[in-house]
Amino acid sequence: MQKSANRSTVMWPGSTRWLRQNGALKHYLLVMKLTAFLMCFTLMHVYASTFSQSVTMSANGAGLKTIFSEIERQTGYVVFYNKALLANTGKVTVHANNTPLKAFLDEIFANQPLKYRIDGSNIVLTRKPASAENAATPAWAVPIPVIVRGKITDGSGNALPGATVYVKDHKDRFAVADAKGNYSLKCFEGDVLVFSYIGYKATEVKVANNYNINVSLQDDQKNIKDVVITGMMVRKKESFTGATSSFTGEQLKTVNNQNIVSSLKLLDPSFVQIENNLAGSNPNVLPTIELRGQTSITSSGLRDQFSNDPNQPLFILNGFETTLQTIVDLDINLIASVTILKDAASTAIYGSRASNGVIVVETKKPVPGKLRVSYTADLRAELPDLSSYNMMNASEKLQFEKLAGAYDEMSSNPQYQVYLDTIYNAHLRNVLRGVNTYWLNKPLQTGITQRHAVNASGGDNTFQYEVGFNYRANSATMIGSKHNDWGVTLNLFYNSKKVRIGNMAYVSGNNTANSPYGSFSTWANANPYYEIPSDHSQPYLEQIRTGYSPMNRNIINPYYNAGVGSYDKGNGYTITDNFQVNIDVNKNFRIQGNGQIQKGMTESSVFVSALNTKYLTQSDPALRGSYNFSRLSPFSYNANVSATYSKLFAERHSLTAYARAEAAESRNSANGYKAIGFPDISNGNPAFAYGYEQSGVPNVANSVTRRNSFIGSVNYSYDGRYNVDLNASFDGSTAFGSNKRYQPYYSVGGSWNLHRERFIKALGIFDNLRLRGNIGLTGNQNFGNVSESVYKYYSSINGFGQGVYLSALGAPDLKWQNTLQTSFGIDADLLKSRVKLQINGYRKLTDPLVVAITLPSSTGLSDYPFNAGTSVVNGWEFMATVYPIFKKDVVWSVGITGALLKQHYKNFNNKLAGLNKELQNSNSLTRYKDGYSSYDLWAVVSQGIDPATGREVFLRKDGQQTFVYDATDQVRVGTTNPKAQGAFNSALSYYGIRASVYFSYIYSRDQFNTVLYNKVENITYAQLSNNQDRRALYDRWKQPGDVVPFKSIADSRSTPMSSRFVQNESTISLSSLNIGYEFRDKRWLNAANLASLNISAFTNDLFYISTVKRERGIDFPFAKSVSLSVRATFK
Amino acid sequence: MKIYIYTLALATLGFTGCKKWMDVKPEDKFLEEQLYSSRQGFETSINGFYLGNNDVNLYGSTLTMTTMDILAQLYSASFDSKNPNYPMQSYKYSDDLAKGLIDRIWTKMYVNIAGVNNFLAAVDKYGSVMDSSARSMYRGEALGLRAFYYLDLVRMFTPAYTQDSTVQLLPYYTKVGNDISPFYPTNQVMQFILDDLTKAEQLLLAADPAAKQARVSALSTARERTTRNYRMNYYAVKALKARAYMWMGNKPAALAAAKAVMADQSKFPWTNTDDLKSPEYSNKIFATEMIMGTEYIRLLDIFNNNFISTLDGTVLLAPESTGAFINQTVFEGISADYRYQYNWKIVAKAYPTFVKYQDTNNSGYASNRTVPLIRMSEMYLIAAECEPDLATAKSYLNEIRIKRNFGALSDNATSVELTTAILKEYRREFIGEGQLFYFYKRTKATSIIAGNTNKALTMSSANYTFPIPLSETTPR
Repeated sequence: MQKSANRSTVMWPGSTRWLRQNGALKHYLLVMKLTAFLMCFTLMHVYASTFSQSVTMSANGAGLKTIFSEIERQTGYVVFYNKALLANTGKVTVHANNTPLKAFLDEIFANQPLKYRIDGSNIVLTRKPASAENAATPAWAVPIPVIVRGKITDGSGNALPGATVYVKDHKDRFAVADAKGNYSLKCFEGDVLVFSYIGYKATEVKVANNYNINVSLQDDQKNIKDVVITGMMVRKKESFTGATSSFTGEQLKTVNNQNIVSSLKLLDPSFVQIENNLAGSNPNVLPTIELRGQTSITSSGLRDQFSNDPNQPLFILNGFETTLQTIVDLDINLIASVTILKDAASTAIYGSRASNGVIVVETKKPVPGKLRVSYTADLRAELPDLSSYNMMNASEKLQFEKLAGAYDEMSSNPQYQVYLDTIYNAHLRNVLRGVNTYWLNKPLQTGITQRHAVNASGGDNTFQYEVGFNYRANSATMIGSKHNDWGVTLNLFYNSKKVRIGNMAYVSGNNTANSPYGSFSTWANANPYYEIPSDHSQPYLEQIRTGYSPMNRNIINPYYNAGVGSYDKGNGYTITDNFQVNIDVNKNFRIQGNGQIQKGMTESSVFVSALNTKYLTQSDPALRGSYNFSRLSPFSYNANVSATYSKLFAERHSLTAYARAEAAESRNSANGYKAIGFPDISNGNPAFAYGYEQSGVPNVANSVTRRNSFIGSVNYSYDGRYNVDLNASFDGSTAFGSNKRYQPYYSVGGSWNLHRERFIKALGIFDNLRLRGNIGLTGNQNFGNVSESVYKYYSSINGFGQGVYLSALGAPDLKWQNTLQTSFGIDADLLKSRVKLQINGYRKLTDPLVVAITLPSSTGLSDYPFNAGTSVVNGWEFMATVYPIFKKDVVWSVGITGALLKQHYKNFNNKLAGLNKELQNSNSLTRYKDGYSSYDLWAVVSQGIDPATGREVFLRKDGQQTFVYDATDQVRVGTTNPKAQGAFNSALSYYGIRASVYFSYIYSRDQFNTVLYNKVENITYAQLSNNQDRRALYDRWKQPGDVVPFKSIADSRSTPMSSRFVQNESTISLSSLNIGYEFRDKRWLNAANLASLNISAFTNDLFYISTVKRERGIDFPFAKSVSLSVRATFK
Repeated sequence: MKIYIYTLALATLGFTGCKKWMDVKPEDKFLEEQLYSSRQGFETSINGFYLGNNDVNLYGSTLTMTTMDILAQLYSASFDSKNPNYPMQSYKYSDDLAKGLIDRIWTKMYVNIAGVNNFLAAVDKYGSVMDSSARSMYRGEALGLRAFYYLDLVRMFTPAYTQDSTVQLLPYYTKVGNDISPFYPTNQVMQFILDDLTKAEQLLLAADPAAKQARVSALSTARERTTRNYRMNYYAVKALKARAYMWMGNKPAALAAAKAVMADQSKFPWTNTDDLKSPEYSNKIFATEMIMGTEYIRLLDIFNNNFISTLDGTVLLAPESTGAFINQTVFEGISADYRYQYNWKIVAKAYPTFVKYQDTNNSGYASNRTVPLIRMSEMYLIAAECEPDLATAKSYLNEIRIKRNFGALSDNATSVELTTAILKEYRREFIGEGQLFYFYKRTKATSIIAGNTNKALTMSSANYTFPIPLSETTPR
């Protein structure tokens, strides 16, 4: 024992002080303990004596222990061994007659797994080392523990503190890397070690005779690129036959640090956010999203208040359906991956909900390791983008008004001209005085958004936890508009060898308000020749009283309504709990159960003060002011059980089968009321209301929808080369007709991994080359329930009691809208992955469409749904990335994505003639006609403005020119669907600095320019008092001979919609510019107790260039933004 | 292997359990099967039509006391330029506000018709939950309602029948669905109406308790009432027949039908002074004579919005401000007439205003919130107009005049004087019930006395006919 203590002192030269200075005390102490323990084993039989040097022995099948005793007796040598060493040794048969000790020992150990060494008078036994040619250790070999040490680093050599290593199949034997990425772990030779770290691909290394194992973990992006997460299962990308694209949370964050919708639209060309020119950058308006074009005719008549946009894709968050609002509010820092499932092969499992594609979002899961705390701050400043506004200044405006006849007496009474001249002179005086108010920026500010997210996770291999909290405070560019949200997550996972149980709970909420400044257009309309009133409580900027009623008008002070205490605000929360159990029955068969329960609440209250200008003419004070309250309370649960079987037969046939049963229920209830009449001075508390709306009743609606499905999926792969996918889903829903509760959906797909074929390998160009194609049928359930006649109660009674009325006539024979999708594509990585390419082509045939058609009112039906026509979408999309530089520390990539699609209708056979006539009468540019598209614009062709008269010349269908507008001359004059749209990007990573840039482009689409239509022409006499676009002054006809695009300036009559206002547009915008750096292994980081610090700066929507000059952001301006993200991971 | 079997068993179990689970019934509305699972459902459903009749665009105000009487020039319509009655008063049917109003009338009428057709189909489909008598009653009421609605559509949207009965203007539906009906000639629509009425009459004769009651229009002190004259009863159907024949100008048939109702006059006794004086009933609508009417619990709101004398003169529905139109032209200076005594009052204004629909003591009694749609007096007026024998004709008219405390027509009055007297009686009798305009139209009056000027107003035939709204013609 004395000896061992001495040796340990020799072995460990450092004093404890030295160890502390090196900051690795804990580590060394652990190793020391282990070593000391091992020493005890080896040295337990130490003692000394001297005898003869040869042995005489005859043994037949004796144990080694007996033999050793005999040796010790005869020779006086002492045999050092550990009892465990003898456990698997063989029996010995030996006949020695005064044989020298060495020869004798050689003989008895020849066939044993042991070797010996004579050290003075000691015989020390050890295990024979495993040699390369003898890799398979004999089954009877006795393993002795060894200590493996090494460093865990990332791809660029940076240490990964907190990374874990464990022995495969023995998760309880693990170690955690220290601050420098060093680890040490007791294990046995032949063990397989698994190295893992969050965000990196787990790596396995077998322990051989090298006990120093340094591991470099690959970024997880690779990992996600190799699999497809369908939301139900994880599939190997190589054998998958569908068109998908996947992005990691990190990738999303290189584009935008606010929400994933803004990121996805730049990363994937098929994911299109429809520009909302009215709402601009209003944070409280949800984006409209389409994936691979429209499949449905949007019609409000078919949707109850709880149903979604029928062209919106399905969102799946951690395996369960979720709302667009949740996705938009989701903290981008929580996201592990987003997968876009585009075609039938990937979406058929979602059956009736899948026609518009599926977006699968997975949040990060905790990984074992010591407690890791990280903090992320996302800051953003938004600046209103008013560059598209082209408003007149004060003198231009007055000049325009004069020319347009605002001050010309039009009645037969000449005395009014005197009034008008007085008014004109007053305005002119203002202009001459230098009044030139720029109203546009008055309701605007620099919007500041900040998000703080704290996340802590850790645990051992059996139990992992994660707690997160995030809060975002947002103030948008219009003063008073905000959208704050918050979230708390708690994730717990338990692992045993066969069972994995997880529970993810999250609570999220938001708090919103719309600007009291109202619509931005109010400010765009304000006249520049008015001064900003010093007193904002003046309701009018000017009151014009001429005595002639059409000329009497009140010019409302835009500040006034903002200051009277009206509000429009909302708040809500959602509580979600996801529970999952995985049971690995055996290595081929796994059973999984998932459950989700969700409860939410959204409230909104809109108060319009009694002082609002709209009540200035209300004579009854008890009717001034209103308060509108509504509350939505959704509740849903969802449970599913699935089984996966996968097996490799004869090394070439790989089979995966998946079956799932699912049931879901969602209950929605809405409740609201309207109160009328408030005192002038009121804070909008409904308790101050005088009463309810006359004959108003509470606004209550409830709905229950249930859905269940049975899903089967089989994937077969031969030799990794040929793959076949079969999916089927049998969907039941209460939304289907009562006669037809279940609908089958399916898909069939195949893919061919050409890069595994010898003839492609021989080319030496392709690292990856896959052809894939599939066809399948999916459905669309985003319509309300229309199968049964629905009756509602009248809100009043009579002596006989209550009564009901038919509120919706059932359409029991209505066929549900199904879409047959055909898709094919090619994936290629070539020239050592220097070039990556994906091309997809698809066709979506929706047959039949469900159309809510307007019938003559005498049928007593409005918006009655029926099946008419088919819609065909054909499209292409491509993504290409080239890496001109690909070195260890410098990577530069250039990429382009693009999508183009064409849509048209068939087989309407003029059934929608009524709808078209109605659209024509309501000045709509859309028509539903065979061979044409919903994107097409219809108008009468204009030949321009006649220079002689200033009137518009139209082209009749028969080719003749005419001054007379006739709606029947309308033809297709353009399409809003661009020839191509997408993004191009470039990214550079240079020794830890990352920079990327994304431009998005739209090539050649037609737009009806509403500014030209509303603010250059079609300015009615009353609208002359609104500020207008400059072109109304400069580009309108004034005198004979003027060759101009717009009609006579003096003509205030309405202009019909004609092709003159349809313009071809191409745009390019700098959507995202990002630069970031990650600090690691810096001394100052240590000082701050930080493991790493990641800083990135962004700018989004910095500029927007369009070939068409029109106002963008009518009710709320668009914004450009500058953002900063800081992420700190603590030790 | 066990696990596979368990899974399979569980799946099968799940699947069979699903069927019931998938059967979701909404909470805030009825599905058809639920509704018609009992007689109570049919009762609730048919009562829906009587409640629906109270819609402001229908008999709750537009087709009775407001728009229709404005068209008959009984009032100065409001000067509120946002009120559709403003253009209606001058028959500017192309005005956007007027268009909107006419469209609402058309659409609501046809929505009711679609509802009735749907109800008739439901009686056929689910009627087995009731006895045959109940089925007959519901069928009869529904057919009667359908005829009632179509007849008013004819009276509004087609020219006077004797002027043109073949013009094709009205779609006619007997079932609800997306099959679009062609425009039928008016005479064909009238034939459909008469067919419905005949069928309804047969069904109700057997099933309607009113046919056997000694008195149908009993006044009740109870706040609730279930008297049959608030439903499309047997006598209402018969009276409608008289109204329909009268519209067609078929005098003998109209006379016969009117007399058939008059034969049972005792079931709808004349209102007496005691009834009128009783503040409880405040029987200003002559409820005992009402063959059919509609109970409207928000009637007071309509009154307060249009007729209450405290309203501003620009909003108030009242004749010109001297009172001469009411006092002289309508009531010919006879203030003892019950209809003047109890329906017109001088309060807060210097001239009489219309108080027929004022719930005086807010009693909540049914008769205080009832709009009559068919009354016995109309039968007597039809009989007086159709009876070829002058003396008998006069006796029919005098019956009303005496009961109203107006005094009889002189014995030597000529047939021309009788005709004028009938006109004047229509003008006195149906104020607030919307019948006068149809009388003018049926008689193709070329000049009527306007209440806002108390002077004659020239009428063109275009004034009498609403245009078919765009919501009907556009989608065709």
